[in-house]
Amino acid sequence: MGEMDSTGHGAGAARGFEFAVETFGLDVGYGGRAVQFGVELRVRRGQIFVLLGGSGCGKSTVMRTLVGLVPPLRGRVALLGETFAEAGREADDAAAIRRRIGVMFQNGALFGSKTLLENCAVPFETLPGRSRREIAEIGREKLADVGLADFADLYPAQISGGMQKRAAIARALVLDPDILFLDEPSAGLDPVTSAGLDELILRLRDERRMTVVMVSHELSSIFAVADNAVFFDRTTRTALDSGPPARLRDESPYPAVRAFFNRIPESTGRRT
Amino acid sequence: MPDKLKNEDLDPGNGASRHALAGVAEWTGRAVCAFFFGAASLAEFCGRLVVATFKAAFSRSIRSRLPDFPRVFARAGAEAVPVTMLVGFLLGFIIAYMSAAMLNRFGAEIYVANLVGLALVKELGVIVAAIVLSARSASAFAAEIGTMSVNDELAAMRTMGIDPVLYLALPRIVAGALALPLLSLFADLAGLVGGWLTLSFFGYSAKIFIAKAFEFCSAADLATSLAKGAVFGGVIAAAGCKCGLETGLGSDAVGRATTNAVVSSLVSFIALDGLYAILASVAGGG
Repeated sequence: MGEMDSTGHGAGAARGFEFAVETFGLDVGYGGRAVQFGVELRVRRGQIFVLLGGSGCGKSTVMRTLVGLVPPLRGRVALLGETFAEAGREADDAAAIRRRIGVMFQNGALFGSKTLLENCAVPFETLPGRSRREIAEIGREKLADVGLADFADLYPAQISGGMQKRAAIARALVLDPDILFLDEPSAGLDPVTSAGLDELILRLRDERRMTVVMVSHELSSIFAVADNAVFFDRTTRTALDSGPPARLRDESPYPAVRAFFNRIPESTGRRT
Repeated sequence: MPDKLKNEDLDPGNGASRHALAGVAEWTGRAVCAFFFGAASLAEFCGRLVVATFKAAFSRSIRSRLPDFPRVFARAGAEAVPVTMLVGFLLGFIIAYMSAAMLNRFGAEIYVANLVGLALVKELGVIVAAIVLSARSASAFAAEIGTMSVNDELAAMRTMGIDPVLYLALPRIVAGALALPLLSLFADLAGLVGGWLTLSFFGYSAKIFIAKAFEFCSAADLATSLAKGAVFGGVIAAAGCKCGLETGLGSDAVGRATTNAVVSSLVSFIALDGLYAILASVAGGG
């Protein structure tokens, strides 16, 4: 996969590296069986980058590999200019890199036995030196950022699915990460809540110069926020094309990519 | 002779029994392998836990988990007291009743007190408590952690750089190790009451019962029993946590993890108890 275009949102190479996320010949999968081969991603700092593809193409596995949950079968992942994961081994300073990334899972993955505020305190477990009061203040601030200031003392089961997703984003933001990974943030949400999340993601990029890598199916959301996207194909098990979403929709040489954006059923799309 | 053998080989009944024998042998082999692999896996998990504990001995990770410890300890310990005492009481009552019926023929029913005291303090009290801990807490730990695994909460922890072994398993294992000796004391106490109740039908007072019950029990026996309880408690909790951490995908996996937790914790502590009995016998400690 070729290099992604910069949108100029990021701080660029000012802090010693150009790309927030890079992969080199990455094969991803489980139990020795690859679901995607030879993934080459280059995500510039400050970009919103979307991983696209049909159901079962392996985009969530790619993201799990990027965040260190699934070891690469082959190749290497570099985050923020440092090697983060490599086939057969994990980088020595992976723990330090982990503190600079935030991850939101598709179902939120909030801790059910903790309130939203307590959930926001969990990422501080590995960081000594902050008082409980400070941690609580930061947690309340992040919850306020996602519009959940009044719900800090509720448990995840007491709020809606959309609120759980926002709370999960707040938890992912408490350490002010350089990269935010989001797994289908808009899935299952009503259009208004979904638009609110899009706004939040854009704000994170514009105000905090955060790099956002997200898995999404929601075309409206993709066109609203994405600077660049990459399309993973289930049949060839490779990343077919990448670039700004509008270009992928209108100019991609791959029928499968155009079919995805134009909502053409797969069998028809393959023939176009 | 070769012809006879050939005929036996052709006999379908004989072939079927051989097939059944092979099946039993295969099943036994698999079961033995599974047992040893399971034991090795649990030992490996305990090793990982020890390493993780030492690595983070003075870090915030452990210190910050201490406030969670009382909740886990209360569930594994205090909330298990009534059922432990009930089972202990019934066990003491049944042992005394069965043995009194026999010893009464020889006019030796007073020795029931010795039997109940010795059996409970040295062995049965801790076993009753261990069974209760396995059934109540190992399963609960596996279900709780397994559900977290299914909901991606463990994955979320890992992305935050938090080791779930340390964060979730350690407080539960410490709680198990502390709760089981205390529960075994309650089981002993209730069992003695059950034993005395039986002997009271024969006209023996509580004072005599207590004096006889502790005639052959020393403080060392009690201390050994408590120490065994601490080890069993830790192992039972570790087995529950391990099964939870290894939960696969889906709600079915949580059910399987819970079942595995109860089975592996029961097998683990009974195997350990047997090992201890052999070692004590070899060392002359009886």
